[in-house]
Amino acid sequence: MELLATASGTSSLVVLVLAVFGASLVEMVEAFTIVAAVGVTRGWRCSLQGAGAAAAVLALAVAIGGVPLVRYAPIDGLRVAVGALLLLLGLSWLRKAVLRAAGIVARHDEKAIYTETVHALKSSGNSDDRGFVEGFGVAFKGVLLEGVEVVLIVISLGASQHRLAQASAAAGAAALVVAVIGVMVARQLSEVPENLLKMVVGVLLTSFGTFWIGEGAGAHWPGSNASLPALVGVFGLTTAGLVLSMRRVVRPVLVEAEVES
Amino acid sequence: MNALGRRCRLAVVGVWRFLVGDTPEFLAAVAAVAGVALLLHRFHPAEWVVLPGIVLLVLAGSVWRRARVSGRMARESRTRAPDR
Repeated sequence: MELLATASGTSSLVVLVLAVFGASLVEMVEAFTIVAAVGVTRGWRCSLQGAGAAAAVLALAVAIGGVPLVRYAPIDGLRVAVGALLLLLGLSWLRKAVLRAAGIVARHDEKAIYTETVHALKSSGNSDDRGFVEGFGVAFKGVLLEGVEVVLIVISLGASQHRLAQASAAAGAAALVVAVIGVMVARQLSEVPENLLKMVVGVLLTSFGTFWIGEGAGAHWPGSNASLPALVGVFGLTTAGLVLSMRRVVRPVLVEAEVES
Repeated sequence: MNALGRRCRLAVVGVWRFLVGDTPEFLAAVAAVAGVALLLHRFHPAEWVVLPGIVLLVLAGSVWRRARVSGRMARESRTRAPDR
């Protein structure tokens, strides 16, 4: 019995770490594209300082928002609220990823974002001081905006399982991985399979959301935490099925219209 | 409306757009999942089938709705093409 409880606790920790790491990876790739564009046009000093300042603000948000939730909020109410938030984020990520994978909506294009940002910064050519402030601002805003969803996911998952430290560490590790790979290849990370990652994270967040809402409302999941991997499997299979059916049914209509017009 | 009121309104609109955006059906689904979880807990022990079922139906419906809209827009642009 004890062994079963340990196994289910480990499986929920693994799903938590995967969800936070994947979500952070997706958002950090987008943020890195902006930071790299600023670095190339306005210099790496202002770019890295802007990114660092935004990362500090995000870490502060986790500390201010997460720690009191873990310590003082009633656990059942917290789980329903957190589950609702995760379900909202997860379903919208999943819907977007399915539509992109089926070719119905255009994929996220890091190269286009990079070129656009470089062009915007170059065309507003100005003095060194103003250039520094502008570069700092663009890098700061880019990292902050992309990081907000990560912060919400870290606080939600960390607080509901009382594992804020592990969730924060997973997000930090993802940021580090993106930064190291980005510096090594020294360009935008357009080869990262962003949509696939988004789909996997969408499945994980949706599973967690459904699980926590039920748990908070007093539902009994068979095997408790061990049912999380089962939920992941069900949502994953359904997502794959949705992508295939969308490709077969809707894609031909779109392609036909493109050819004729 | 004073400046503070306007800022509060903008903040509420910003949060709504960030969380709900163009998919209000997800908000309804979340409310339904929470409500059904509470009801089922009292009267019936099959939450583990019903709750994921609601989520799956809403996701499939939402994807289909968007796909149909895209298909219709593509067809409309095709029929308009000769006028251009």
